[in-house]
Amino acid sequence: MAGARVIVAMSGGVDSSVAAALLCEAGYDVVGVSMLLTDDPAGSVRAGQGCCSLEDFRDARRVAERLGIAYYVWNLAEAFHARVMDVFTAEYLRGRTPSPCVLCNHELKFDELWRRAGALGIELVATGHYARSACGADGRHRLLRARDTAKDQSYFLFGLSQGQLARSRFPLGELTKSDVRAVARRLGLGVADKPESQEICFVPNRDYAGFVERRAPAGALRPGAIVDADGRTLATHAGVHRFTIGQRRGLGLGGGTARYVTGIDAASGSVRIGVKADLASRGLLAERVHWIARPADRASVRIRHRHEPVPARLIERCGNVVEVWFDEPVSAVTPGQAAVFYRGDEVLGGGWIGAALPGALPARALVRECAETQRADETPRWAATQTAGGDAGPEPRGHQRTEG
Amino acid sequence: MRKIYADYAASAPLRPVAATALHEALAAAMGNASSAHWGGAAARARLESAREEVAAAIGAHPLEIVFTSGATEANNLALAGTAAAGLRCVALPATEHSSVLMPARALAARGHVVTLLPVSADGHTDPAAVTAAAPDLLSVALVNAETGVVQDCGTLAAAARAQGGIVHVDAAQAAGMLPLDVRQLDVDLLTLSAHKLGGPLGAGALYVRRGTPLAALQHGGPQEQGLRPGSENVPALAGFAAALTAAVGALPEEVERVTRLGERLRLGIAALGPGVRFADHGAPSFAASCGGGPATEIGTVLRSDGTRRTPHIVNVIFPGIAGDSLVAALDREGIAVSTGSACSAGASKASHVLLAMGWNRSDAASAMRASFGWASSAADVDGILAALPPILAGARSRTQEVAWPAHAS
Repeated sequence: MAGARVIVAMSGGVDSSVAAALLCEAGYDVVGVSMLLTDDPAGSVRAGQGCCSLEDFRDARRVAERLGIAYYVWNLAEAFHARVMDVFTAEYLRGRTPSPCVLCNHELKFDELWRRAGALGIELVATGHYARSACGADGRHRLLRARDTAKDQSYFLFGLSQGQLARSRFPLGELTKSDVRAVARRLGLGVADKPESQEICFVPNRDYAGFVERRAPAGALRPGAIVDADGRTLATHAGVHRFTIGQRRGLGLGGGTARYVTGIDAASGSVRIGVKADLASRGLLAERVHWIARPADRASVRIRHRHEPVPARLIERCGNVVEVWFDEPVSAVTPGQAAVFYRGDEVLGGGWIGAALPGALPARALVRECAETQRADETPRWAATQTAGGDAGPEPRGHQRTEG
Repeated sequence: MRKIYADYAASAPLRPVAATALHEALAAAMGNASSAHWGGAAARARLESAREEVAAAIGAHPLEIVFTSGATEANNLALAGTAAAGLRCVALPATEHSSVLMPARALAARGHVVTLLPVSADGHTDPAAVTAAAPDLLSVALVNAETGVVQDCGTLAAAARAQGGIVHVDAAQAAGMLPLDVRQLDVDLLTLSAHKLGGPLGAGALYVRRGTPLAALQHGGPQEQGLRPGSENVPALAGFAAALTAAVGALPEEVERVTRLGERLRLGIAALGPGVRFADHGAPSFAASCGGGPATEIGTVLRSDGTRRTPHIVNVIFPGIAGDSLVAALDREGIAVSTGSACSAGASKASHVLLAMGWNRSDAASAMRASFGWASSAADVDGILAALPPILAGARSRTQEVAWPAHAS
């Protein structure tokens, strides 16, 4: 591949900087690009925001200068707003907890960025993700977990199409984080010891609720009731977007036994509270399922980033819906997050969690009779969201981490 | 790879005469122009020579020249300085440079009356809008930095004067391309920039007609008639004066040459296909007035509707192709052009100028501006025209894909 041209999505962090460096060493003709995702980068510096700030662009530019590669900042704010931020807001308003990094990879880095690279005649897109891709003997491209499973980010990449995988490069797939920092130091990159970003990059100060409230359409923010398992009203709240499944804090219920958000019903505006045991689910519905490998009937399923995959049976329903039945109950199945199917290191595919499934395995009655509702011509596009928030099972994770 | 520089509207290469003047002044620099000793006197001599040269280039009196760090500072001084002196009401076309728009916005935030004047699809402001706004100060750029559109400053100024207003003209892009005479233009304030016409960065001037209400924005010294404190940057100002004198001296020959280059590029781009649009809707033309017409028409191209544009700025829209990726692709071929409007991070954004002219957001983010000047050549133009077709083909190869399905939101 020596001499092949590649675009590296550079965030100004150590991972994408080293990804660019390794490609240079491997002989690629590297062009670094940072994506401008907000209209006011100067403002984000003033606000002390971590990502997409002028400070990060400066860091990326300095790395590019050090590596002797061309570097540009491209304005992808409109695409990002329409395809990621608006979806993020709408999902919260539906009582779901979105995973925007999945969308950003699929729709920005490996789509919009690649499209724009067409002007430069560049086919390949590389990122600093900890993941691996490979081409099988049958010509199908495979997505694999990173060698460093603790850093693995394959969860955020399950939506990549065969075409997107074919043009992707993940130079960090075989490395650990300390390897990466060592490379950065060896090359004298100023970002070697830069701290990791842990938040969703476009939400300042982890204030998801404030972000949603600033962007919600008029009338979309509706107060509702906090109810117990029996439906009794315990308190009121300012909107379902302030909650995620498994949340403990901010319920305004005072002390006593630990109580968790166990269900969110956007239609009625009610947020259900229960004890930890109420968070357990035997299964979930994965919607808009996208397969990278051939469909399988068993897999280990990860229901959020850093969640240890859990063995499960998969039952395909029509309309790209897959029922996932865990061998053992899992806690806090959260609608809006991705359910990603693994076999060993390989990502088979995944979908968006639509709902937790109560009960035990052959709960066929729960599954919609899809034959009639499904239009034959409906392309199985997995893109985010859709289905109403509905109830859901169970547990937490102050919303989602990123580093996608 | 042969490098091509076609971004004069951002910054022009230093003219040799300016480099010489700059070097000489730097080598000789010894004193502060305000000092009473021989070192100060030498610096003062260079400074006042520069002031006389700049004044002569625009038909002003030397004491009407206030040197600044550049056009941005001069524009700020013009707007905020007249406001500080008591003017309350400002009007300006919506297509002005951000160094005029932003100070105007700051004034509006402090309670001043600020009127953004609409422009037509070809970028011109209707004098009737000036009359209606009846501003104390009209601020207008003679040549628009993004599109090259030449405003009819004389008519607009007359409309402002009829209402008792005074007039500021931002001539940063016009100087060196159009003959400038402050008496003929009948303006009270006029902005000049050194580096747009081949002088050094960090130098500019504001012409201030005697008697114009203007207060200093900074405090700290009596320099520049008390309007701009701080020790003057004598070497840069000497380079500025040399560059401006050279540019004016080369009119109209240099402009005639640059006119041919701009029109050559327009013709070549128009031949790239029907999907290509010029931001000012101006067709290529050889009806340029290159010295044959009245002196005031030098450096402009007369369009069929009677309006004018400068030939050295060519702003072209390639619908569906992001301006910043186009600029990057040309950069990879050694060609320096710009999108015309960059944000603080260096990325392009939907140009406020093009939006004001009625272009949609997508088109306004798909612009490429090439601009020429004293060292440009036909080979530069031909290099751009040779590089564009494969780049456009590559960009379009990926815009034809099926659009993403709308999200449920």
